Amino acid sequence: MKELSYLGAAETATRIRSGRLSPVDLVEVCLQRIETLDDKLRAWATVSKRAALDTARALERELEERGPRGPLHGIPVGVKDVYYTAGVKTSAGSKLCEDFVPEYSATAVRHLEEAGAIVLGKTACTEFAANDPAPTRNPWNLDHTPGGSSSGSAAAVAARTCFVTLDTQTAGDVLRPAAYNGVVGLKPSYGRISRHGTIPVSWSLDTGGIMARSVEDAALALEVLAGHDPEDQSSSSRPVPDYVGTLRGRSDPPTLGLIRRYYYDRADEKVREHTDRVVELLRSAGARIEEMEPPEDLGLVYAAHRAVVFSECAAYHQETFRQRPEDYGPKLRQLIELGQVTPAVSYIQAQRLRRRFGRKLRENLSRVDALITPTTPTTAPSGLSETGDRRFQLPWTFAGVPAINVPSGLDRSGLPYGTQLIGALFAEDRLLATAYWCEKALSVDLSPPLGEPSW
Amino acid sequence: MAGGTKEELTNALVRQAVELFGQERANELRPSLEKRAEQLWLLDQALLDRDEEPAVMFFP
Repeated sequence: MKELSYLGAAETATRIRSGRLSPVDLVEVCLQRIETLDDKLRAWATVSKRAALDTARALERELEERGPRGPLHGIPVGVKDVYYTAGVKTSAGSKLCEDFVPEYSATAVRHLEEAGAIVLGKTACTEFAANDPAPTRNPWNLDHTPGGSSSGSAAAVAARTCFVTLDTQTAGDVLRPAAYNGVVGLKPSYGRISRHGTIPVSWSLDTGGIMARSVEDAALALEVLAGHDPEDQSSSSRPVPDYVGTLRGRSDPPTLGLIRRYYYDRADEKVREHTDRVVELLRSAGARIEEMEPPEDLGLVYAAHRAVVFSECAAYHQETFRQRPEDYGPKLRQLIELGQVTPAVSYIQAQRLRRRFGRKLRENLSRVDALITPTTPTTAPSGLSETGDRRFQLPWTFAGVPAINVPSGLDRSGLPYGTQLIGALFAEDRLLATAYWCEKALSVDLSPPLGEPSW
Repeated sequence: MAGGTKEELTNALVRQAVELFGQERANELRPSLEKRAEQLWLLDQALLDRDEEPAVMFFP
């Protein structure tokens, strides 16, 4: 039974469709793993055990009677606890929402269910997806941060308690935890995945994202999640390509733009050496590597991002913060206060800089298939009071372009390294195909040492 | 406030923090306000073309 939880979502979905694997058995395996592992990992905020088993039984019958509902038929997934789930508590890691049970599900959650996915429950996140840590621990080393804000999702996927998770990124909330936990993390373009029915951090930055065990699984999930939603004014109406077909169809080596400036200045020595090794490996497999300069001063981009996120977050929380300031964690409280004193002119200047950055970046990205950088300046830092450094992931969220973490190895202490690839706006198909090629060339398959249960 | 030196920006942020949150909290926030002022100053130095409009992230 153990092998079931080690398959990818794509392979598992194929087995389910052909009748070789029961969704009920699969859900039972995942629930058993959660029961065994989650006392120490604390990746799950809520587990909907009965509902998940009922859905699995219904999907098993449906498959026999009418065939598969969609490409994720019978696949157990997790949902970050900022997405509304009808009838299931959505707490966003906050005392303020501890009793909040939405009456409807977010559009993205509905898309997963309509594709046949089984929502096992809600994954833990930092408070309101900001900076006060979740209780989650890193499955590679319990004394190290799993990153954030999608802390539980990354740990849940790494620990094989589910196959895919639905997440959000405002700065580095998907890619950083993905890197720290050795899983694939995809942040598509801003507007690609509906955010209708999510608790926001910063409206003009929040982007739906995905964590999975492989690039192929991320592509499969994106195909289900992408698409226009009239309920979300930021949602793009661009057509959704065949992501899985594109990545399988590409075999020629990509052209990658390596950005050293800013990244190599801030990465520690072992991350710099690791990135050099990754680049050499990709080059020897046939990739063309071009050294590129960042299209803007990324320190300035960081300052601009902070002006936007602080201001918008303060605006969202203004009323509640006035009424119940004591119910906010210290880091979020400070973020809101700093937002309240940020001048409107600075906010507008930040948004103007954002436009210029996006335009310059388009020029850079027109010359390559993807930019390549380390995802984080270090592997997961020790301690659980912080969630790590967002500076390496944040510029691409600010520009609204897609980015993906590809696990690329382990350091000497057994913690995962991640490599970040960045693509052109709404060119997720090209980015995923590039990431798939790199994943194959690197041939890294990571599983944390969890004192494995036998299922 | 915009267009000032780092020190002027810090003082302006601190004044506002005192007004909104009181002296004690403003004192606690001082290191973060200084960091914010540094970032806002950096943003002030960005030479943006006069025609550059703010990003509109809501796609039609």
